[in-house]
Amino acid sequence: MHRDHASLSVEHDPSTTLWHLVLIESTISFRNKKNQIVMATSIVNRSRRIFVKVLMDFGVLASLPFVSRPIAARPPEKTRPQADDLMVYAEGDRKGQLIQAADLQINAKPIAALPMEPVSSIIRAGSRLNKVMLVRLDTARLSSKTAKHGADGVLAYSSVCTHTGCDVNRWNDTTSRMVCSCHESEFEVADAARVVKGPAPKPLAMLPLKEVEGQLVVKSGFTRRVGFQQM
Amino acid sequence: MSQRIMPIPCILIPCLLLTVSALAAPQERHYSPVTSQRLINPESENWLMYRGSYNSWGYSELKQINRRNVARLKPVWAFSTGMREGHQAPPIVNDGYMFITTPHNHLLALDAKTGDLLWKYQRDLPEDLMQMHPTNRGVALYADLVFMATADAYLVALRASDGQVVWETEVADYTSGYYMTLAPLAVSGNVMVGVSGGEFGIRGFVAAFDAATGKPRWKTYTIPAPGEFGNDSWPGDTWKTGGVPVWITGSYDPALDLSYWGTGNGGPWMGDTRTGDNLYATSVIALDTNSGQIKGYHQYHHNDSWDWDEVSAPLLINFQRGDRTIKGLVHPGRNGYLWFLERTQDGIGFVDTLPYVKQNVFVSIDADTGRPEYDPKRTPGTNKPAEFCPSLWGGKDWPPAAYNPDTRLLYIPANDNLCGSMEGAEVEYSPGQVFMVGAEGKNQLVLHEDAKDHIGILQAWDVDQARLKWSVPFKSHNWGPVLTTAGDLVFMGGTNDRYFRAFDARNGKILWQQRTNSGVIGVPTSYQVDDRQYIAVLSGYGVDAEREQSGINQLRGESHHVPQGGVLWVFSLD
Repeated sequence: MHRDHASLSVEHDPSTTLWHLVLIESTISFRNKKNQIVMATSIVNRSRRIFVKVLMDFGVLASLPFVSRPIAARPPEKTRPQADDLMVYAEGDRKGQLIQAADLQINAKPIAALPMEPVSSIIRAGSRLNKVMLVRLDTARLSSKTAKHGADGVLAYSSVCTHTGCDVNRWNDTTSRMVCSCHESEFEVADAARVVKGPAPKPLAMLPLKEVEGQLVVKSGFTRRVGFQQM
Repeated sequence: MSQRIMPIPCILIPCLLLTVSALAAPQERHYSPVTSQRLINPESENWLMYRGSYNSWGYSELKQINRRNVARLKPVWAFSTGMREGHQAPPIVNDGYMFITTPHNHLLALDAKTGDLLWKYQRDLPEDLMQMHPTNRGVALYADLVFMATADAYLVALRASDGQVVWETEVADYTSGYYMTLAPLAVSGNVMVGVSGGEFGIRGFVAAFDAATGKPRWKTYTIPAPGEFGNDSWPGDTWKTGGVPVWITGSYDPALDLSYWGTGNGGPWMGDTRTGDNLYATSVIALDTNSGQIKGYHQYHHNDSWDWDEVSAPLLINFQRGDRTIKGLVHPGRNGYLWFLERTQDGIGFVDTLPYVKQNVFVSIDADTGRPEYDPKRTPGTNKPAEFCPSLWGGKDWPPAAYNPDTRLLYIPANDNLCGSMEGAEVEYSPGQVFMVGAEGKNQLVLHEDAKDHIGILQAWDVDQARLKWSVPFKSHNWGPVLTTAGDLVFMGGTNDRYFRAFDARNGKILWQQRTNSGVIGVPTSYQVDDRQYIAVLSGYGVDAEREQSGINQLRGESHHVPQGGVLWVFSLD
């Protein structure tokens, strides 16, 4: 697939039998930069409700040949994490196994994880933007905006650095900071991944979590855009 | 690993959507097709390729602007790209058309005289792209087309007159860590590119494509496969993920019909993970441009453990040694040595070498082969820390040196007194993921005590005597590509004070300087329109220059800030 034009896709959610409207990845910022179309979309699937928010320049949109394009489904493995997704190990001996809240020890090295659609058990491994790092800190250390997205101190952060998109793969257990080894950006895990060092322009996206009968469960989608801005 | 190569004729997909054309109507502007003959003998008023000519001299024959009048040089127009990060592309000029590229693969065509925007192309890059080096180093020209290598590892051909995409070809799979930042090299109807991704476990290569159609012609890996010469310099399967990228444009000798490409280091970074010489890493390779066959090589240093990519292509300079004129290849290495080699139809020979900055790793050089012997105390490894000079950014990183045939001096944009410390950790290969020193590995800068005096330095070397003629030190580190002209001038920016400067080519005296919006890490060029000579350069700090600044700030306890944002500056006499 090539990504050189905006196109609209329809995604079938097997858990709801409803159809979601989504915009194929990467078209949004491109259109913004060209000023031909100003569009943002956020899709929240929570308790089988769908909210689609689209801001657009209608005049330009009308001129785009959306309707004549073939409609391609965005498969669940590429879809961003959704509410009620479970978390599984992304790598290592337990790759693909469910992660329990008890697997995470306070201040231990983060665990690389992927969300899994709970009904079909499809792991969302189709995009590296879905990978998160799970870490547990003492809840007393967390800022309020951090604590509210955690599950009793268990936090999930996008593993994709906001600088140039490298994986944030290093852990400093002395400072409780996540570090990108590409360019040494450091993120304050206890404070919503605030940038404390290095070239990263923005914090890492958080994936809000909750704990349900010992399982880590996604509460809602990422708190901010995942990845880096190409500008 | 997917290696799908598929030209996409743009009749089938709406590539035009990517191009904002006729912002200033091209009307009936004339555009002279770029022929093989023009590329071999480029006219002085144009700048048709990365370094202006196949010999990679970075030299302009224009001399309207010269050492006597350069003090009157003034900006005549400027153009803001609207982009951050590293602006490193040379303004390429043909017939009054100027082409520049930016990070994230914007390609702009401008009127080289007035600064009018003629058209603009924006690559729609995938959002899951990992860009370790957000930059692009410019275009190649051939026939009526403009070629750009992209961060998602495509080669794109656009019509020069209006920016219409004519074809695009996937060169490699970006999800496996491949990307491209170099200006392509056009030779005899072929467009050649090399790939970046040495930090992501790629297997590097140079590939050629038909300029008219985008169809692949040949592909030559920089790491030999089993059964090929040199594969036994890689243990086990390490050849599959050994890096050796090619991320700077090659040189070309039309008489030998050989192109010369510099190669990056092996991966992961610690040499003890891939014991052996690791051919053709940290080398220059001579490629037959018709077949892609490797006709010769010289490995500057074997089994690299210092991240010393030797990607800058050698300059084709004929130099004297005693009474003998040697058809040479000259390369100021990232490893801190200045290499003099001989190019022949049969291969590449070693002539001599000497350090041009502080270098404490090589304890000896074999006089016949040029093979260095290393100090083990200066060689880091897995769980083995070591300090070494120069730093991982080397005596000279990618910014190209320039050669002036009038002064017979080679101008090197060097860094000295900056050393490094590394220690590798366990590292596991995962496609498209960082494959360097391991997540727990260490990689730091170390300041030599002489850094109080200077780090950056512009050096002028007599190529016939292999002797330093003059140098200009800077307290700042230096990331300035160099231009030299028949007006006895050398142009370079590169320092963190945002200046772009003109030096007397004979003695290094600073004759003119202009403070710009950002740090100047772009490749300067010179051209002429309507009897007026111009100097053009992009100012836009970022990438490694910024990262080195961050490291030096920490060591010096400073907070020096160089603002980002790309602006093209064009100068002429008032």
